[in-house]
Amino acid sequence: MIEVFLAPAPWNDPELFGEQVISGLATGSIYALLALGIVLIYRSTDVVNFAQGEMAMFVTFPMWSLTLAGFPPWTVIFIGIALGFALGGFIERTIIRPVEDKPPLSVVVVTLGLFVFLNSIATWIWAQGELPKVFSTPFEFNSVDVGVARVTTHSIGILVAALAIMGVLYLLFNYTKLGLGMRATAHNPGASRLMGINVGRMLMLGWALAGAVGGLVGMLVAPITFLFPSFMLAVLLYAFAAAVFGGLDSPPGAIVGGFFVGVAENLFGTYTPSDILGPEMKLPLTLLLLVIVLLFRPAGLFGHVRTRRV
Amino acid sequence: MEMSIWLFFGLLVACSVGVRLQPLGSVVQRAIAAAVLAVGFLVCLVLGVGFVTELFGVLLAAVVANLLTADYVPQRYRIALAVAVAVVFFLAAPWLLENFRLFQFSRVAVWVIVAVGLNILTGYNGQISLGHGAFVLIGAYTSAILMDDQSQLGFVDGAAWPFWTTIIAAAVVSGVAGFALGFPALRLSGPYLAIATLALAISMPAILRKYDGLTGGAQGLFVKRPPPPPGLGDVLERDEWLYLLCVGVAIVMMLIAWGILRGPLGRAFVAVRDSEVAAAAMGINVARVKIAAFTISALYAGVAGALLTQLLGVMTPESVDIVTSINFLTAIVIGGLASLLGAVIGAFALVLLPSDGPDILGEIPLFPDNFVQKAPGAIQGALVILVVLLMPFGVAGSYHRLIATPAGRIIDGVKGIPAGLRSRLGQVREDVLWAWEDSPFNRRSSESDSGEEADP
Amino acid sequence: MLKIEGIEASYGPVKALHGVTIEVPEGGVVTLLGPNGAGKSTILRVVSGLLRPTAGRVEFDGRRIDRRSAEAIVTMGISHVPEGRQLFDEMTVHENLMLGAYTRHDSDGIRSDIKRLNGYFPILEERREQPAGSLSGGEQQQLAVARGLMSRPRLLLLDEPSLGLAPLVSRDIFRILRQVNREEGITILLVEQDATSALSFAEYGYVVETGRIVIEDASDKLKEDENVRRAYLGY
Ligand SMILES: Nc1ncnc2c1ncn2[C@@H]1O[C@H](COP(=O)(O)OP(=O)(O)OP(=O)(O)O)[C@@H](O)[C@H]1O
Ligand SMILES: [Mg+2]
Repeated sequence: MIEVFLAPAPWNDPELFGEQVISGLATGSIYALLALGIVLIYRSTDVVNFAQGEMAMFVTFPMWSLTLAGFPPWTVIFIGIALGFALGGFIERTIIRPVEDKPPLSVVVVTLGLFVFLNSIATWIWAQGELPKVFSTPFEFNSVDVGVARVTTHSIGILVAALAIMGVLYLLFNYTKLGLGMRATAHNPGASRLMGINVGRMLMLGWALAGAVGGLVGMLVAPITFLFPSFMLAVLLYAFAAAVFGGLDSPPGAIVGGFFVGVAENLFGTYTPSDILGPEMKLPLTLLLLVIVLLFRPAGLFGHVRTRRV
Repeated sequence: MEMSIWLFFGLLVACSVGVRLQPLGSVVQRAIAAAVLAVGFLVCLVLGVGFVTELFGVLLAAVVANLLTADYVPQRYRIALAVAVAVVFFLAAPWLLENFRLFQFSRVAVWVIVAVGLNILTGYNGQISLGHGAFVLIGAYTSAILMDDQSQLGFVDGAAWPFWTTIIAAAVVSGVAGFALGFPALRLSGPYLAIATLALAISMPAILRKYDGLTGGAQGLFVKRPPPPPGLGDVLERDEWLYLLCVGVAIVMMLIAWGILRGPLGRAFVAVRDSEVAAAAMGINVARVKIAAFTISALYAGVAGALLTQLLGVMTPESVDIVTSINFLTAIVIGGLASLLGAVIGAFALVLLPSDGPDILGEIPLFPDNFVQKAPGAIQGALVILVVLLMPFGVAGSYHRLIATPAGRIIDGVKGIPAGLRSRLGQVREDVLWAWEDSPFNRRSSESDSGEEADP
Repeated sequence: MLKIEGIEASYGPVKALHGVTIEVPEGGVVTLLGPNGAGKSTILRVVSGLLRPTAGRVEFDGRRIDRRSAEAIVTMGISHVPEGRQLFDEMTVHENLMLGAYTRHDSDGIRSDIKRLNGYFPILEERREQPAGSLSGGEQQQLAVARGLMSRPRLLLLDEPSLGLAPLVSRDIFRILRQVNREEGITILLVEQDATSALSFAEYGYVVETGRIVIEDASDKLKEDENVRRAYLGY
């Protein structure tokens, strides 16, 4: 009854395929970064931060004001990262710390409340007047050829920036004392105090780093999607998918998950028959894939099912 | 006659509490009190002092309710009577409230059904869901498709189903969807389940938009809002009839929930929430219980969805958006987890907070007008955070604690209260306490207080 | 060196300590005995700053420490090897040892200390890159003690180091602890279920029951004491 129009097969058009994969990797690196923020917070404070995207938005808007005021793009990016760092730390200190020992559900609701709060405040402050706003990129939007595919310099810039951040975080966690302390706090806060680690500071630092990474993501996404108060929502959803796919407590998992989700999303959009699936269904399809993965690996690909001493 | 909802709530609470309390003194004393209050009420009415009049009216209602019932209704029926008072109030609302309030209350009744269902799943059984909006949509579209007279469903032969049959159909379809989703949910723990259900809520509108042959795509489906049944057409307008329908269904659904929760299945829900291992050791089939919770919960959302279709007359993929879906969870946490009263409070908060919150806060001089109007979400978000910070067991839990402990201590702490009055006040407190402890809304505290700490 | 004077402490509404006074002399070995739930671990928690006492004072080297953070107390030279080991299971043996030295900044000293401890606990060298959670119970206990020594403490608080260990392994651990005490002059406050080994290891003992000290005396005397013998030594 239903006629199925077959979508283009990947092997018929390698150029298209390559383009889809590379742009998938570029968006995937964004998902990976935001997912990394989610994982940093989940590992250190056991909180799924639903406000992660709005925190990024809340950094990007003032940075947009700075660009209007004539600050050069790179300066703006670094100020934004610093602002995100401060915002993350501030939120942990003021809002999350008091609910630390409450049931997880209460904490989830607090981050949902934070989501609504930040979104609304941003609408009030910045979203008067014309929307969406244009956010400039230090990488420009020129086209370049990569192998068979043609992509923008901004995409490549994102990819490079994401890899750089991941490298920095990797070094921080594995080769510095601070990173050692943060990992220890994530595993066993009680014992960490006995080691002389200032656990409160580590938790705050976890949120601060997540805020910084989030701020960067906001500033990298805004040039593509333009800037409006809910511009991070779609990115956040894919980032959640990425974080869960890799395992909420695994930073490498978040990165693998991010790239995977980015590419899968593009391929779903391009290579499924458009009359019954196609681009509009790429989000549901990606999420369905995620749920299927979870059925076989309930804590994601690299995550641990948490067992805790009582 | 139309009254403000605050007076409405004041009278409702006053009458219910008045009914619940032990006699507030002898018959003569109460009669005198009533007379004094009535005189005060009339004087204020003549002088036109607004707020004070209402205050007198509310107190008068409480004393009269107590006078009429305290000596004649046995203690154990007084809770039922208080609930009946509340029911009467809500049934009388069409004649007491303005039209837009009535519409809001209809929505509250629909959300109460969702919140009760979600509370069964999350509050009593410990499984988190951010995706109940999807189940509401499934129910709503089931109803809308079946009621559509150009129905695309071959087997219906173009004839629209009567609206009440579609409510049942919606319950069944949503319940089946919940049943099916209960299985994957078995394997997912807290945060993973939260995100998976969020994914469901996000996907549903996209799916509805895509398969527009059945769902009408982005335009959605229009249905004829059911008119009052023959015979009632003269006394009721359509909105009033729909309001009564929603409230009636909500009451029935709450009674069913109450019955389930105090029965063996309800005890199994709580046992599984508190410890799956211990529950299994007691011989409870954990998987079956968790799937049952998912099924029942989704069924409730489906019924609510079908009612929503009747209420709105149109159903689009955006009718229940992702924010609403998330707000269901927020509502039951604010209202109070594992409490039917909490579900009702949460549903009211869901509707009244955005509509009235800014007005109330706008009265506070500190807030710039501009802020209150342009950033209603800021107030809502801040309130949510504050409630979680200050009331760990939600509004219903705080209400319980408030009347359960400090009142007596406050009285004991105040010097110079004559001994007679002191003991009378103590008695009032005991009564309130008793009324609470025995209340059908208070399953949780009779369950175990330590269970609260171990919430999901 | 350590003076505990009349401390009281509670967990929420539950009071666990009702005025406990204990003194540990420099270079000494003191043990706390008592039934389950007596409050022995709670005493150690108060000393190491995990729990604030509600009354009383704790002095270390003549300085008050009962209001200080756990972090500051570690830096002052007190190390707490907690009940149930509390290792970082998913991190390697080496990382666990490095965490023990978290408050120190002399990387050469840390390196030589690890070498020295490997002399005491050769197994830790072999398992250096293995996750701590994959060690056997006895190996984990050795790691916990070694981690506790990594901060170069002057006072070591040990909470049931022999719990669940085979007698031979447990004897090994006590031998090493004695060596640490004699050769490095580290003062030890030991909580132990096994009263026989505790009393032969320590010079002085306190018996804690329901949050109070009920008897205190030199170990030799305690061993003779009728009540202690019946309740804790079992003969
Ligand atoms: N985290 C806690 N929360 C509440 N109460 C606690 C906590 N830890 C200990 N307690 C209570 O404090 C009292 C003393 O406990 P503590 O752990 O100090 O005993 P203990 O002497 O070390 O016992 P054991 O020999 O079993 O280790 C006990 O009654 C216990 O129930
Ligand atoms: Mg102990």
